[in-house]
Amino acid sequence: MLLEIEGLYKKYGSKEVIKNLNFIINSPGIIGIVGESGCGKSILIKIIIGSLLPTSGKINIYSKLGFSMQNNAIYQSLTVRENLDYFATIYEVRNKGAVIDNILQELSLKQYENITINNLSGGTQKRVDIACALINDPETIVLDEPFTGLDSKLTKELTSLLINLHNKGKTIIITSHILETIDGLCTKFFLMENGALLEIKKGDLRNKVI
Amino acid sequence: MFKKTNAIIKKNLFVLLHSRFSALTLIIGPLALILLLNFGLGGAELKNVGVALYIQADEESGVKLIEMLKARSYNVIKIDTMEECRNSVLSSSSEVCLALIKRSVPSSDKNKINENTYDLETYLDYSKQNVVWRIADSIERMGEELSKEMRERKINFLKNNLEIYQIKVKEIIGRTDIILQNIQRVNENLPIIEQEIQKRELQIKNIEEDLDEAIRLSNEMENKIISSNQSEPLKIAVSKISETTKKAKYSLGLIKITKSENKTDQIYTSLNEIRKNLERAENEVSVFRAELEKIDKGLEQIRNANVEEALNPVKISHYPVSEESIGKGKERFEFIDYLFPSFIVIFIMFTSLIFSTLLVVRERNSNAYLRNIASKTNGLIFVGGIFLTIFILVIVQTIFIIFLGQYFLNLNILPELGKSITIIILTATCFIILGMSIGYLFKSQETSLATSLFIAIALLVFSSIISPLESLPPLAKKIASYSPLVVSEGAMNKILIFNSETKNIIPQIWLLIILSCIASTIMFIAYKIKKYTETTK
Repeated sequence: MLLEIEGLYKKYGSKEVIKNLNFIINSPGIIGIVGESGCGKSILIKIIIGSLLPTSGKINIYSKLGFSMQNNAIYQSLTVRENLDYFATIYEVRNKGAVIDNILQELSLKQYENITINNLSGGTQKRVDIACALINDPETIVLDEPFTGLDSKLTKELTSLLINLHNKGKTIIITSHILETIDGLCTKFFLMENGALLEIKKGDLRNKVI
Repeated sequence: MFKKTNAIIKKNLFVLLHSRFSALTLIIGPLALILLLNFGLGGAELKNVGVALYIQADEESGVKLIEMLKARSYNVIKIDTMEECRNSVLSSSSEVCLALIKRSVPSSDKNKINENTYDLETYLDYSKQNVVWRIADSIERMGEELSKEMRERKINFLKNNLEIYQIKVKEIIGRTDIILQNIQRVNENLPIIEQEIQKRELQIKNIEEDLDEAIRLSNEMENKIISSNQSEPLKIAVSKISETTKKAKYSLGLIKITKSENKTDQIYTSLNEIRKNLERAENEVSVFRAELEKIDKGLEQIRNANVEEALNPVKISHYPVSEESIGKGKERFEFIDYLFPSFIVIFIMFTSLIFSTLLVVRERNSNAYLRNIASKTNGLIFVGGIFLTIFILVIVQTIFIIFLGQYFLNLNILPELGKSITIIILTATCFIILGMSIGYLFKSQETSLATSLFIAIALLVFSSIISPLESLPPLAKKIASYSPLVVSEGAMNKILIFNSETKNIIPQIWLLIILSCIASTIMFIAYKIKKYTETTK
């Protein structure tokens, strides 16, 4: 088992954003969480990565976790290498020089390593964010709306990157409100509705209006 | 174009006022500052200025000076030696050392008018630029008042003396009149005596002539009788007449002698009287002479009096208490020398507060912050990291400024760097932690910066930099004396201006450590509140 969420609640005042949410990931795959904007997907991701506390409920994470948020969680005024170097230290990565070189190579970022983030394109920034998510070699990677703001070319590049990561044994959790982008990518789908997650089949997904 | 500008302004205002905290800070900040200004500086005047007073003069002048100082709300502490007096300023026990020294007048120049001239010397801490001139001005006015009083006393003394001289001269004139009257009387008596003598002499002469004639006639008659052989009885009778006449002349001679003697006696008596009168006149003249000599001496004193000293019996001089501590290739301290310690502390305060607030807010608002939270790294390590970043930055900048001041402003402060670095470190620590606390307490950059600036301005207002602490009400002064800005500035002044030993700044060091601990506690609470709100909202 990689991840287990049990009876999760998140309230803001009287409003219940997440209601009795239960979620288990037993085996590696690419899991897509879809839902309307504002349905609570990002809140769920924040709770999973530990930056937000639930009102109640239990989360058990049995694997190392990496994440990439909709707004890239990287320092805009640092270079690609500086970002990776910093997070490698924070996440206590051993032999970080080699690890960083490897990630840069793997994500085709070598040529940008000394360029500051705010001078990079949106797609490259997203790749740097994912590179940072991979810095501690996590088994599970959570991506919140990774395709937002990307054109079709960059979307394709990112899709192939995620497939590549999945092929290397990583579990990927993606949230998105754009069905088309994750339609061909995910192995499992969950619909977030009324604060709860419902597993749905790939075929049924198209019937849902998002 | 106007519409667009208007829209931009409206948008910017909405952005600023969107956060309730920002809106409150924008309104409450200036309001609080004005209230603080009113509380601190409303009707500000120098109060409770500590004056170390050294008196080397007469009791009366000393008492008068103390009265004047107290009337001006100075806190007077009487000190026994000049050294102690100056040290009290160096140790900040008092703001000014005031020495009243009676000027020693050379014995040749000694006179009543130039007696009681004083030197009123003030020894001030010139680093307290804004208070120095106010104290100096106040003491100048007080010295002028003291001088005026003494001048009036001297003028009164002169007037009194001149009045005495006038009375004496009048008295001499009066007595001279009597002498003149006496002499006149003597002059009048002398011809009468002379006349009387002449008259008596003439009478005697006439009698004498008559008797001589009678003697001649009797002799003639006697001779004729003898030659005519007259009777014996007739001869005897004529002889008796002749004898009686001779006896009469003899008696007349005796009378004449007696008369003459009597006259002489009378003349002697008169002459004695005249002599007595003259002796009296001589004595009087001697007295007049003595009096006139006195008057002459008095007038000579007035003529020889030092007009400058007589007009300014209290000479006021101001000296920097730090004068002896210069001796580092400079003849005297310049304005910049006194200003630099305060400048360093203000620089540390602003850079520490602004940088730390900005870095904390930027970090918190950064998207990458999420990755930090998600790591297993203890949150306090991030807090420490931010602190050390700003700390290094501020210390490096401060040392850089000190180097620049040393070489470009010829300030000669590097030799004191060893001692001042402790204060620089503690001041930076205190303000960085304070700035970080603000950064953790407020979410928006504008609010945090506005609060930091508000605190910096409030600290400036309640320090000796804008207005002297002595002009604050006692409670405000007491509170302000614990402000990190005031404590650091005082310590830096001691080190850089007075070359104080480290032992003399130990109280300030402890106070800064305590203030840093208080600021750390506030920051820790702010950090915990922030962490709670961020993970629950």
